[in-house]
Amino acid sequence: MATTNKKIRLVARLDVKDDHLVKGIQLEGLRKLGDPNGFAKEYYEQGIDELLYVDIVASLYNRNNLSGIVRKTVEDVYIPVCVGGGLRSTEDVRHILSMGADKVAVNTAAIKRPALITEIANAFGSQCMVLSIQAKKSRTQPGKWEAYYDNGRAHSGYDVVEWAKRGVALGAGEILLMSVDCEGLQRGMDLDLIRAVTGAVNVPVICGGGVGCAEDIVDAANAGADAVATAAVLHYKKAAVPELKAAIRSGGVEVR
Amino acid sequence: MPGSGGKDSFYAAHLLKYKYGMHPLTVTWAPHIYTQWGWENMQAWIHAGFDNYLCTPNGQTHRLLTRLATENLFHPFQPFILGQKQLAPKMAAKFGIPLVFYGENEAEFGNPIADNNSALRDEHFFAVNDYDHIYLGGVSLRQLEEDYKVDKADLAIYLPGDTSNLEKNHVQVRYLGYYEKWHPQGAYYYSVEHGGFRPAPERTQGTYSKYNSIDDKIDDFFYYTTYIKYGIGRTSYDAAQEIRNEEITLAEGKALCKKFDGEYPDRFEKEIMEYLSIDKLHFPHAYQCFEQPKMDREYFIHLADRFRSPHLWKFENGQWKLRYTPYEGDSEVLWGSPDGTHHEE
Repeated sequence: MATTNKKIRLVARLDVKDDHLVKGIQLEGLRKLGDPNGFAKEYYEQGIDELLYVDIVASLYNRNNLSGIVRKTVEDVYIPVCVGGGLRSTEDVRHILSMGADKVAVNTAAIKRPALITEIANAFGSQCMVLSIQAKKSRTQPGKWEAYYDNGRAHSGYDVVEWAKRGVALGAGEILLMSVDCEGLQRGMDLDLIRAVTGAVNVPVICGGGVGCAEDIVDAANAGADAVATAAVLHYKKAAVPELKAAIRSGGVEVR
Repeated sequence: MPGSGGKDSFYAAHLLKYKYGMHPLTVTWAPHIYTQWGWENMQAWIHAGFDNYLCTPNGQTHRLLTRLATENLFHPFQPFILGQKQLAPKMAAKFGIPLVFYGENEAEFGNPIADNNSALRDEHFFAVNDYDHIYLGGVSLRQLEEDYKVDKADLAIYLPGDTSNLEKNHVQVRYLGYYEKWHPQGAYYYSVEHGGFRPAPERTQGTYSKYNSIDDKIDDFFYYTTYIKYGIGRTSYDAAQEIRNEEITLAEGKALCKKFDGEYPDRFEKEIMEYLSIDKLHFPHAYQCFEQPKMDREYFIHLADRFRSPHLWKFENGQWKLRYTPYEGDSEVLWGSPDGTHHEE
């Protein structure tokens, strides 16, 4: 069994729309699952390492309104909270940080204006600027992935690996890499994608999309993931955080 | 059981077979031009455990009829719909199968709501005895034969089954949506879980979704024509349905309509314009019946202008605008102007 000497982080991803926790498959058919704060608190109490809040349709609707949910969450959750969705300026970022977020994830606005990455990194530090990438296998170029935006609906034309490298050069301190192909299916992650991106950049990469069991997380860690984001498995109560972490450890991977 | 292999027909066929223990024979009326993902979903459907007959109409006749329907009715889908509606009852009569199940009633998609009162399909939809009064694409069968020189045999596939033939076989046509709650999002999850259904890899132009009617490249233009004729585009249809199912809010639906409804579809435009063009080589007679046999964007927009109702549209500052919209202010896709299509930066 392959082992790594790093400790991975386990991240709970909470996609939010209005006041609802939602979940889709390949970012389509979003189901409402309940009050996001309740889920967040439960995962925190179970020992999750980090929370990731994404207003998943913010860019589609040209809005961002997670501040209320974030403020409420940080009242009783004391782990890093990353927030994304519809952030378009350093002002938007300043506001969400003042609500209690520790870092921000930016996708659509960075694709439309890459200089925003540098602006955010200069204003708040690289550790705060997470470049979020929705990666989908290219149908025209085998072995390549294209970055998408607007909730996995619109093509950017950007090659994912090149975009990740450029994002880091522009100041991103972390990459949030999500496979649109695997998202929500709970049938394993896109390991080639994880290898390609983690091999190309020297910042931590949070990998998401496709976790169905602890073995999938072990595979992702062995492929190079520094952190793994999971959603459906937790939301649908197929597994809880302690048993996931125990299974990850017995798979030979250290986790916080 | 007629179906395309989309999420709804996947769900319906699977329920009939595995919940109700029936033995559905699936029949598919082919799209004009399959999208890659549409074809993959259709294959995934069959491989999930069904026998299937795929009926693909004569490509030349289908092109001509689709062009005529666009020209005369601004309804590029009319010949497709006729073939689709008639295929299953005809196949049932041919094989002596007494029961045909469609999925959801068309009332769910905008037809008169009174249709929902019966599980039985009105047989006027699919059985007519009088062949002399049948029009395809706005042209009578006689004219199609005499002026356009379409062989009678090539039209048979569009014509309804004989009433007597259907009666003799006691064919009944029903809607599954009358017996089972119909929830498109639920059908999506079901079809992903029980088969290999996958949404399209991109947003369908004219709307925000990527899992509704995604298998035919002409679909984008069909919904564009409804926007021109009724002021209701694909976003309106999708959003209204999702608002009813409480998946999105009214405010979200309005925002989506403002952002996408009526968007001019240019992703498959070149292919569709070629498909709708009547060339001299393949259509020596029909070619002469058109003022402009070649279809291009300019001519298509010229046709669109002929089908705008004045009670729905007004011409203001050099631009056509809808008089009534569910949202405030201007359309972000410029009311269907080709200049308003969303493109990557």
